[in-house]
Amino acid sequence: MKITRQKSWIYAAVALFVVVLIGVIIISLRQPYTFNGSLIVPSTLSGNIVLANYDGRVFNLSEQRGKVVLVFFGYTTCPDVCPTTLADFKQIRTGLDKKAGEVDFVFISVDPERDTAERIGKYVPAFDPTFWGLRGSPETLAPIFDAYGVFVEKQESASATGYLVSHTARVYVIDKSGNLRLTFPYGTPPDAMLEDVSHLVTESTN
Amino acid sequence: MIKLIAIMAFGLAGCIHLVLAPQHYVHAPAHGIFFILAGIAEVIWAAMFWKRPSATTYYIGLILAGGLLILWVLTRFLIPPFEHEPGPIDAGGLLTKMSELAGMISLFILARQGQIAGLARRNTARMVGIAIGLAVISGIGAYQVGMAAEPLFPGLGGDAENGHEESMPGMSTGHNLPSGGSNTDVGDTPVVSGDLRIEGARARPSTPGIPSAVYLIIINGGQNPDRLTGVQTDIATAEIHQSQLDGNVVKMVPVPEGIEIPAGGRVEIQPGGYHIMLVGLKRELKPGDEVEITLSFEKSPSVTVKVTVQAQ
Repeated sequence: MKITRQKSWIYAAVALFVVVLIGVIIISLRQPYTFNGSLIVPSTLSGNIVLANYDGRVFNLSEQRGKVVLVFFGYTTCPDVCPTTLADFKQIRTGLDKKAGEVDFVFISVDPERDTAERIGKYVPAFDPTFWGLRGSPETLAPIFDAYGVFVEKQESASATGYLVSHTARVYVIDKSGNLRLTFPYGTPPDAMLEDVSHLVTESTN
Repeated sequence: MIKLIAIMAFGLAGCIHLVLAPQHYVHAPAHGIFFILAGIAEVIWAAMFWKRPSATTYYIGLILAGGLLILWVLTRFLIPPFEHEPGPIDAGGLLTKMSELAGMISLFILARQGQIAGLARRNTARMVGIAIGLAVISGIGAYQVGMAAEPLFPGLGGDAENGHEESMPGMSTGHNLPSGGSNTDVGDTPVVSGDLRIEGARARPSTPGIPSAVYLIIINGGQNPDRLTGVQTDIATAEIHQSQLDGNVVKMVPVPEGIEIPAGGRVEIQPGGYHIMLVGLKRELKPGDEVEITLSFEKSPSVTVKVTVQAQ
């Protein structure tokens, strides 16, 4: 009789410790995540994007709910910054591993004059065949640039390429609910972007 | 039997502390020192308890293991002394804590069975209360002492942003070369022209109609400055350009005047900064291909460099 009581105390003490330990683990895991990118507060519904992909398919951002979407504005005559970002995208996609299908990577040309579907088709899929390479007329692009605060300016130059284009080099991140949540300034290490994107992929939509 | 479990649990916890000490020393020296002290204390305790399980060793054991257990729990969600963010819940930590917990429980059972010499027998509730009380007091006490000591020993703290190097946009040369590694191990031998040495020449894959870029590093080992004045190649028109970041906007600027190479200095032609743009490619550049480019300088003789096309 006495021994049973004794044992039950021991079990109670063990149970208490285990409960505390589990509680702590849960609390620690539920700590709010701190993003590496620049958080947009409050997050706003992203401006819609409906543009043609290089292969003729239509990309409609509002149909991508449930997916995280990374958007970069660039142009194919850009051999330095734009490929660096697309190579970062590729690295993020590789890092996402089995979750890669839950993220869309989108390149939108800021140079509709020169960037034909054929050109974009040579440029974007060279990084990854699943990446979107979108183009549109200046009229369809203008409201998108507006909505995302994208700056685009042609500069005449003596370069053999003809003119060059100055453009916003941020990466825009749209969450699974379709909100513009984050931007990554140019030069954000791909690992830091991967961390944020992986977090957004695990988020539940509501 | 249970005595052996207590000794082994403490010994194991002590050994894990000692093994992990160097890696903690790297992120914050104070933590490394604390791990060594905690590890030694647990091992010594195990030896003491083996020799003679007395009431004093019993209480010291509770204070030691319980305190470390509570301290670990605390620092999972509070910022630990000498650190900047709560610690992770990792396998090493969990194993240590489980074995300390096992040690404490074994101690408690031994006490209940009256196997500890000189320990007054009390009712179980009080014994549990004393054990948890000692653990909490010693854990919170250690935390407070650590916090109080932190400003006194600034040199023992952790680095502000561990592993988060401040990189200039685009100057982080390695990050777009998932397969390539650093610039110097491209596999080519450096090319020398006068006092200049050219290293790590590589190009982006591309196809006719889409420009490519060549990256390399020029090191000036001499006493006089020089200047890269131009680049020629058979496969395209080569131009020196620079990407300039102005706020969020990136702008590409031709640099027809070339790039000054300071005496004893170096010029990094790397992503996000200078690049040699290949316009009007005559053929496709596939990963693994080699192309030749000729660099002209103001003083040093022109030199031809083999450039490897690298996957991106």
